[in-house]
Amino acid sequence: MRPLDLAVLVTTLTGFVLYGLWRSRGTRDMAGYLVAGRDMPWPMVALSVMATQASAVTFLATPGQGYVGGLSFVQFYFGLPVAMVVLCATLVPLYQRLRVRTAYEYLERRFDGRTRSLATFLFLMQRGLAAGITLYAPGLVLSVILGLDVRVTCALLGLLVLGTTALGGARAVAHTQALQFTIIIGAMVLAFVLALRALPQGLGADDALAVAGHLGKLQAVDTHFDPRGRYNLWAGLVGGFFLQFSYFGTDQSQVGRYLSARSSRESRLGLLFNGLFKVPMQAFILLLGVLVFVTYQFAPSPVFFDPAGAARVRAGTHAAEWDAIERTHAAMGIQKRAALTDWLDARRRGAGVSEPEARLKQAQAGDKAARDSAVALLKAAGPATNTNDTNYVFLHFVLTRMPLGVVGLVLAAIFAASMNSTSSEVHALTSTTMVDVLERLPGVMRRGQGGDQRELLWTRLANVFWVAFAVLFSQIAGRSGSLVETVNQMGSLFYGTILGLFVTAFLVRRAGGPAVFFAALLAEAAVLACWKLDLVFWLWFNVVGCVLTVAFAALLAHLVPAWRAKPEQLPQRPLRP
Amino acid sequence: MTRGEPNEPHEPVSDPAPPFGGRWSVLYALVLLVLVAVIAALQWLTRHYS
Repeated sequence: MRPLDLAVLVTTLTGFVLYGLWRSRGTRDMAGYLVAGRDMPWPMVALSVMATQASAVTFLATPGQGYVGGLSFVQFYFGLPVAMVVLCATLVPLYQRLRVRTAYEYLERRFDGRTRSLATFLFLMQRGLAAGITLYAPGLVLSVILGLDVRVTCALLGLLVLGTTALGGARAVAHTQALQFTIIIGAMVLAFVLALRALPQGLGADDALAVAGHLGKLQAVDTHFDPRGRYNLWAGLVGGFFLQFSYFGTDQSQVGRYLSARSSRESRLGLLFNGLFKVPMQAFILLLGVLVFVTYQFAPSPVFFDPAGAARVRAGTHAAEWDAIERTHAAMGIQKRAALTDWLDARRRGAGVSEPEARLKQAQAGDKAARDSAVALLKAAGPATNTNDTNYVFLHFVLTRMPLGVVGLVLAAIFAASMNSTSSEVHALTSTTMVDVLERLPGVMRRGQGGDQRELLWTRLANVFWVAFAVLFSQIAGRSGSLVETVNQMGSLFYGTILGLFVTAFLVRRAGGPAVFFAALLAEAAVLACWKLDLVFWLWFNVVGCVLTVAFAALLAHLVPAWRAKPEQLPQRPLRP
Repeated sequence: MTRGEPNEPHEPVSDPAPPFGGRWSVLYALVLLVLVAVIAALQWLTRHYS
């Protein structure tokens, strides 16, 4: 890394840390730590909510997703604006009215302590796993830049996150996220402009889109319904709605952000702002990945973007084969460039494109064979070798094609996003562990002499535990393909059931604690069966978990009178909190 | 984190901004309209360049 880039990176990150420390002054009580004294204005809530969701995974893996799969991943976000509207009309006013500190406190009032414990457990599981993934993304960046093992860099980052979560609070998180998110968006816009300028001479935006479209990267909307298909309009709208509604409505890492707003109005405006801008923002980042793809159709690229994997094969007994594969890949690249140039020329002139198309297909087939051979060699190099390089694509582009200084800025943005998101997650995990678990255990939070020190000790232990959990899981996450998919897939295993608990609270007035508790257990078992048996695409897990929890709760409450709700537990104004 | 009363009951507060009606309905409709417009634009992109 060049000195100027390193200086920009270090200066920007130091600025973030100092700004966070300055903003966190004055946080001295629990309300300040958990909900920032409930005094945040809506623009701060909006940026904090968007920054919490948009971790480094978004800015590192999403362009990679665009490179590999084109724009189709944008459909995953189609349910988000709808979820924001429903959330603003239902749960947000309810939480603000009841002055809860975590979402799960509400469940104890409506059902019982056991149901609250179940929701807490499911949240801690899925968010703990997700924290590992969000930690892995910058660990990857550091390992490539510094040449260190990714396990070492993840552990280093875990220590940094531990420091920030121990010092900060909801106020520091919101303010630093607002600043960082602004810089992140600026860096992405700059990267987009520079990616456009990196296109070969004479190739305009329309030509780039034509090439991307011809190579299948602009298939943004698929209206064909297929429950096992990957991304389509219906999975995005219905499955995406359930996922996003559960994430924003019941995941403490998000609930904690808008509970810090000074009123229900400010919370709702912040969430609606997110609903307006999220889909266009994701489409823009995916399009950046598509632009990188087009650039590499006209410029040399590595056969495998993860330099550590390639280095491992080169150091082994298959070095000669790897060199031969790289030569084939380079030769196919030259053929592709020639065929694409002729195809574009024919398209501009309105002439026949069949001949360059045939040459292009031939070169693509040759390149795919070279790539498959490379992956086979990577597998042969050892079971621990990563064979998926989606997350390295954008990083390679930034490091090799961005001008001096911009590399440092883009890397700082990626770091900022991840550190902030992981800090936010660890803050939520620690808060939930304290409020929903340890406070409820008899004898742990004893009042009286030494009580404050005991609570501080437990908070720090919970902090250390969740950072250690994230670091450990990050090692597994790295081998599971695209990070942006993995983080959502893991969440989808639990989100539907958690959401089902809240929906039952509103819609099934008869259901009491035992009914909804056992309904949730049955629904979670069904979701895990869907996952293990590969019955439906993972976005539908959210629908299955939610619908089954509600249906089982209604059925059990109907069959077992003792499991029905007591009158004092019922919401007075269902759906109109 | 400093001490909090374990599971202390919080007094419900009244919400001066009702969740439906008036400007809120307009805002909700605007968010959904933007979604429809973005999907339509992406669909046009899909068809135009395929």
